[in-house]
Amino acid sequence: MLMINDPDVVREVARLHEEYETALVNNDVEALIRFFWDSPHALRFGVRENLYGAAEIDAFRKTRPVLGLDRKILNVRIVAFGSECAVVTMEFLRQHHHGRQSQVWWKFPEGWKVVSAHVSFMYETYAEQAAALAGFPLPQQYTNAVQQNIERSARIAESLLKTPLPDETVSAARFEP
Amino acid sequence: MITSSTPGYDASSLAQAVRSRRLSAKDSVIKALENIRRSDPVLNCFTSVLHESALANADLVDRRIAAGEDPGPLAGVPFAVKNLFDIAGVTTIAGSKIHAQRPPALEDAAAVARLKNSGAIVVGALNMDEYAYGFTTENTHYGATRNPHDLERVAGGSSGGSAAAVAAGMVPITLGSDTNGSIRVPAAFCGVFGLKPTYGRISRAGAVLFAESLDHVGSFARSVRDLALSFDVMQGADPLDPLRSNHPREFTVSSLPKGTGDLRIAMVDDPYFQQGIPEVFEPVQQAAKALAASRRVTIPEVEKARAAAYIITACEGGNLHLPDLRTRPQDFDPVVIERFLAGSLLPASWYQHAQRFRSIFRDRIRELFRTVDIILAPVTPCPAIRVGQPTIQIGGNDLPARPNIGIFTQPFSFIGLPIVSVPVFAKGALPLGVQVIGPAYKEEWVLRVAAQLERLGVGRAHPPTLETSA
Repeated sequence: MLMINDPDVVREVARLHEEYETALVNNDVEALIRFFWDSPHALRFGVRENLYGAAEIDAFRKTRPVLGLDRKILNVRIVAFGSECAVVTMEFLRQHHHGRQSQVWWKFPEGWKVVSAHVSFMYETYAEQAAALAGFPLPQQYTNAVQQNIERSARIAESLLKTPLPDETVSAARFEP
Repeated sequence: MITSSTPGYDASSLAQAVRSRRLSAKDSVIKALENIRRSDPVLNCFTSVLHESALANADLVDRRIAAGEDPGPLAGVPFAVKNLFDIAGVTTIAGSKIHAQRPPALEDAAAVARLKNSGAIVVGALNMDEYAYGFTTENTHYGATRNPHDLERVAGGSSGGSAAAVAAGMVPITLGSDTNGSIRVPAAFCGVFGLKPTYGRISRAGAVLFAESLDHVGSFARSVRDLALSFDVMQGADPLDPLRSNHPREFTVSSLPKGTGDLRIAMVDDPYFQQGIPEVFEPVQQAAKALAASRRVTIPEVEKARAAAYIITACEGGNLHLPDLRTRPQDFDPVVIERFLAGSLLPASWYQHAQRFRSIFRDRIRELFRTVDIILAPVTPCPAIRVGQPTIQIGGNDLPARPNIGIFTQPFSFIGLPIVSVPVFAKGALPLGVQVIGPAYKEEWVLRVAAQLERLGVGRAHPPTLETSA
């Protein structure tokens, strides 16, 4: 019978997952490439890229911007199926953004490898993104209302904003040097 | 029962009585304080009542009269101000909990000082929407101000306390501010006269701003003569006003009886102003008929003007309060903060586009004023809504009430035109208002038209028929 969450298997995958995380935030490209399955079937859906096969994944690793990889990990879950397969999921916070990551690990003769991974961020409205950029995350209870207000403003402003104004039209001046 | 014979109803006759020593300023103030004590527990207009200082100031006025001096055209007239105006010794709360923690103001706001210099006596500060961002005066911190004509309904806003206090006869004159309709809307909902003068014509020094490109100071009264009198004494350049408008003073009271024969009066006639319930157009038709005004005008690009005012207000308001939005959002009125937060996040190019459009719209309306002198329009798309009512019908759609009650007022304050909100309603009915709109700096014209409507019995601040005694 298939053993779910054999403690030894879970412990081993957890250790490898931590190593993977360390390699990631330090952008240790060689280590990261080693963690992924070296196969055309390997897959990594990133936040802005869909990578099919080890070659595409490796190329991405080598050219990725190295700044801002730090992240705070939350809620790591490991489910091991027998002694050769595990699914590792987690959430993370990077700056003000809330992400999640899912990985499928398989144990090959040469060791555990990530065979498939998917990284994404929670959907953020314009309001949340703009507030985060301006350095003041919106209070949770107002995020929807603020977004709705901005969308209403956009609807109200739509025909105004589509109206081209002559270049020479300036706003009424009041500033006096 | 508050009736038109309630002392304090008419500032002009009250001042005459005080100046001719038929009534002391002290008795005038005592009467106002009694009116407030009787009516305010029901209406919730006042956030502070200045018993001691009002009586002390009344004493001063009485002593000056006894010494043969003339304290001015508003001698002994009690007045009250929206609580965003500085009153020396009182903390200016601007409807907020945040400003309530600030120290008392050191000096009176310019408009307050000018009324006092004319002999008037400030008796208190009045409720408003937090930081003036609303049309209903349903303030979570200080409670909703009730409409004296129907206690289940709002007074309008954001100068709701100012309109309701005058409507209920507590004081004959109050001050308010109008950024998008905050004088005209509550004047219409409460059935009193309200004047939003030309942008910059009354100093804003000492008033908490909301959206500086659009903020105006103005007044409420139950007669056009009182409204004109208050304007006459408050207008004029002030080096402390951030705008530093230096338009010459032009007095209006003496020309009120001149009639309107020389003015080309038109009523708005385009679909934009048909978006409200049909009944709101009846007062406009009634006024036009009484004034024999058969002309019709359409307001070019009026919807865009409203949109631009909406965007400028949101951006400037959001920016003004950004430091508090960042650090203490929990202290804002929850019904207001979401709009301030949204305003602080709108794209800058929207704002700039709106500001540039303001110049264009001003030029278009200047052109329009070559063919007419006065434009009549409804003030609101509906009469006073119920306290707590979340939506109103605009063009057949249910839209949020707070941002939308001002759709008819916003396009005109956007370019700073002088406007009187004239109450036109049947005694005992829910009040409605007519905007009497004139070209920039023609307060004399709009007040003259309002006076004519008053004389013809069309524009009238009928006292509420309610028993407002607690």
